[in-house]
Amino acid sequence: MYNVFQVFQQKVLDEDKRCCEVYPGSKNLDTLLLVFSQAKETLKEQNEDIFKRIDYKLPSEELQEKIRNSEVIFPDADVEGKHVKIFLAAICDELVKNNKDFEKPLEHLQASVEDFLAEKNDNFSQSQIPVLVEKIVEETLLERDFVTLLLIFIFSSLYYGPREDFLEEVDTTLWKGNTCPVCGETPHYGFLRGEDRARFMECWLCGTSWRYPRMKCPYCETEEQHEMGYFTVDENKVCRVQFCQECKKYWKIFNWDAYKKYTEEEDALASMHHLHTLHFDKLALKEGFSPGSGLKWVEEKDNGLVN
Amino acid sequence: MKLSRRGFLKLTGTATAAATLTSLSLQGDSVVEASSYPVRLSYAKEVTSICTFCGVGCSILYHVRDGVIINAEGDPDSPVNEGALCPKGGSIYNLSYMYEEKGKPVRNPNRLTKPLYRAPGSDKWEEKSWDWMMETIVKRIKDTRDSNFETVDKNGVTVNRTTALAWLGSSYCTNEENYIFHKMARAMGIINIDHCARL
Repeated sequence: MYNVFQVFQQKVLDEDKRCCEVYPGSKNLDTLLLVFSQAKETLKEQNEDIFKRIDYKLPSEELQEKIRNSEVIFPDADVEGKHVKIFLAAICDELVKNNKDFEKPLEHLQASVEDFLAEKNDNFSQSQIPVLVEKIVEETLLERDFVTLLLIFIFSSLYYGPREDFLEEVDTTLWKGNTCPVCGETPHYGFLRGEDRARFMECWLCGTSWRYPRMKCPYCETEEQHEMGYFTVDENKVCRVQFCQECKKYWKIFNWDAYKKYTEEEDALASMHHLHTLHFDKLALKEGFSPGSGLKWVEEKDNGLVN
Repeated sequence: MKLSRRGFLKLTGTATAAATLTSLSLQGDSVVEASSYPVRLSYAKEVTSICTFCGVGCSILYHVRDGVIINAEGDPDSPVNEGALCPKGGSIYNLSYMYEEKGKPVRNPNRLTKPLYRAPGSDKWEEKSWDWMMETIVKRIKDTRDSNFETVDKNGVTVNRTTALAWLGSSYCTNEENYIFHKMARAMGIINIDHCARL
């Protein structure tokens, strides 16, 4: 389990670089990732408790039982509003530090988040992420992709980061559901495993991946082959946008078999590939599909892409 | 990990009004850039099928674009082959394609795409529809059975059978399908029943 939203290492930067090569038109994300990482490091020095490892344990039989019965492990995850505010302030500080121009939009962002948290009794639950994204996009001039990434980074770092040791132990082999076994979120992207091209869906929040049949819609669960299809963009072999005509949803799949020619690394980062292919999302919206995850990372109304 | 000044300049360098934070948003640049060059979408579908070569019956995923096969791979979800294919099955794409002199794949003109019929005594194949084929097969089975049906044998024992027909099962079928075929053969009075896996 390895998620760009939680971990920051050289490996992430290398993957970022390779993604630029794989997806022409996408730019390096290293700077923004460095800003996020720097904010986290600074905060860690000031306030150790926020990211302190939580020794979460579940007896292995109980864990297997949950997985077998398709029960989500953390169905109602939430974090303290005050931690969200502190973390957000640290990130904003980092952003503003070198460019005062960002001060105002980020002040609006913080005010918007504070209002939201005050309404929710200073508690931020996972299910409120898409709601808060909509609120911020509506109230500020910030871009939807930036806001979504920011909130996922904050929530994931605060809740799933400290439980990382436990997440490493979760074996999803017996999971048959179409949502994440750990946090219950609906997936937005997945990958085809290198050796046999078996399909795995990956959670955009906690990074858990689980196997899911190739010929089944991960949203409406139809197995009607003629209802499903995919498109590639400019014959890109690594990313394909799959869709279901029955529920009109789309999802992205990264083919690690095709990615092998770019790297000898075994663990590719689907979350990084997702960030580098947000323009594919926009094309899917233009083609009349909506994201099955419910998370609309980009706006359809932006410049026309198709034709 | 320190944030390099050069990196941050790159981040902020293009932010003029800074009102939208586009330059900060991860895909801000790439979305704009992506929108400015023409993109070509290629649609395709995946369909499952079974390898035609041997009785193992490995599952295959075909990628089809505009009714034409563009790729074939082993189906990873099949319990039979778990994504793998033997060298013969792995080249099944070449049932549809052959290679011209320069190595470019072209549609195989020898591939049968319609049922062909050769009448008794004829030296020519004729194209027929699937309906015609099915009706003809059914009629001939029925006629052969009816004209050769024995209710009793030479000793007067009731047998209700025909020895003029034989039935061959297939390894491509499941146990349950072969069970039903067997029942059907028995119901018609066929006693010569065998299975391709024994041949």
